[in-house]
Amino acid sequence: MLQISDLHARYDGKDILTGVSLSIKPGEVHAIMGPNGAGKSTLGYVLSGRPQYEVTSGQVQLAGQDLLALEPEQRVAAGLFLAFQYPVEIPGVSTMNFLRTAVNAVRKARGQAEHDAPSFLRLVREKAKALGISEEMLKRPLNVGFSGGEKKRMETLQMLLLEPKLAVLDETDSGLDIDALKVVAQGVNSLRGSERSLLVITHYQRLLDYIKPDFVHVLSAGRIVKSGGPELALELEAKGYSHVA
Amino acid sequence: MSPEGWPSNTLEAYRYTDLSKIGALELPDGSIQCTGSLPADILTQAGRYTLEHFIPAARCASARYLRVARGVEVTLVETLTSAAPGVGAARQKLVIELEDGARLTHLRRQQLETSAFHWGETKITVARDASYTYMALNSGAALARQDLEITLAALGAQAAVYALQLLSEDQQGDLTTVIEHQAPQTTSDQLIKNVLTGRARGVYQGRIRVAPGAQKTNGQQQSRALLLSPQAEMNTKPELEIFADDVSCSHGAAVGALDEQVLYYLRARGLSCPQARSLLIGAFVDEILEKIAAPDVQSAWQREAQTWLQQHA
Repeated sequence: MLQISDLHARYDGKDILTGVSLSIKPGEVHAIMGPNGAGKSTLGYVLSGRPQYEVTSGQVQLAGQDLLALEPEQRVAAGLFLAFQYPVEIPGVSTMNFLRTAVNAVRKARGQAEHDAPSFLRLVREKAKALGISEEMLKRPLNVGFSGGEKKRMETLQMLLLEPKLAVLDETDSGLDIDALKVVAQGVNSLRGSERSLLVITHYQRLLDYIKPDFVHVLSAGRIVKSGGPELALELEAKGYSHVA
Repeated sequence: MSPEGWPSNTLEAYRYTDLSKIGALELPDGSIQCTGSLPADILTQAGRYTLEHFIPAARCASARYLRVARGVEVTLVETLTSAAPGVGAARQKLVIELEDGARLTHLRRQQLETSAFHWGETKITVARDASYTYMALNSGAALARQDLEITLAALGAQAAVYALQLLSEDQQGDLTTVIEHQAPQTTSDQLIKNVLTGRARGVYQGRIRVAPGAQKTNGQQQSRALLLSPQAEMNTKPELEIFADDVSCSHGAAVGALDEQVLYYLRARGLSCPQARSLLIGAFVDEILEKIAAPDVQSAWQREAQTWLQQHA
């Protein structure tokens, strides 16, 4: 599904990623853990094509497509989704209007029929309800005045609506209490299937109690320094990053 | 009432938009054709009226006086349109008096050809418990200045000014407001938004003056400008002159570009760059347009703003 080969990237004149290689097969869940400043968020941004994050060498393929050659919105159409650690607030743009614009833009780019207003409303209501997102939240400007937990639920809703092949979750557990974490994890798990893959970026093991990974990688100083099974996350939790990295 | 010609350099000294040079343009003389549904100068019947100005490619001027009778509620839809292509220079003056408890919603659309020059003066006196709301959409003229002078003359008088300017290329658009709080418990609220691209220049100069003794006055003023190109320019200047000690007045001014971080977020959700820009600019202008109470005018202005965005954003 995702093939990252010797990826180097730079931001603000500094080399952040210094040779990341990673292969994720359809249906697999991989976790990337690592200390602060290791380059975890940068990896997510580079995959999604954030401007000013410059790829200096390496390759990334998503479902056979050269991801780095695509604009950010084309990557979404190709099946990538990045759930942000800090989703932005957009005053004046109602959440519902934003969701419909985004979903229809992506459906159009994928050659699928766009939703009409009533059918889209039904779809959103159903998925929002499962995530504990109220009707009132959908009417409000996107993320404005939302709590940390509400923002993460909203990211999860967007992920479910955009039906990615590969979802990258950047510190989705940060700012969540345990109840919100369970709801968000349940939403993420509902997306799991033989055709979809997940890349879960997290600082703590806690999230991985609810979203069980097949593989765990440790990112340190811009490279993957260790890979293993779920037990690696527990080892990190017990002994700390300095022991491993 | 007759207009007195174009202003002199002396009169213009404190303005951002100097109009004295328009007086020097060599143009034929012409006249503004005014049409509309106003039955008389004194409005005693509630309702909605229109006032349309058609500006020729000539030097021209018009002046009009209106009075809204005690307790009467009126909507006035005013439009300024070019009658012909070519350079025109139009001076247009409107003097309005609101009697006690009268309510006027004044919707003004300036859509002149981009070769036209325009100076609009609107002077309003608001009597006890009367209320004046000015809403404007300006997208025309090479150079236009609208001077809006509102006098809140008696207890409980209210004024609101909500204006949107959409300017491109070499256009310059100026809104200069003077709100005089002459009596206690008077309120004013202003929200001015400019969307500027090309080498366009927007100007907002807003004065709030609170007279001695005009206690419990509330005067609010906000100017926000969105610059879509590196050469676009916004000049904004709040002037608060407060001579009473028990008042609530505030002003704010913000000038900026579209937030790159927000644009990226929208693209990371599948919106193309033009779609993302259009969504954000649309939200910026909607804050003004959604205040319009007349649904047909609101949808017409929304359509016109949308067309402008498609061409310029």
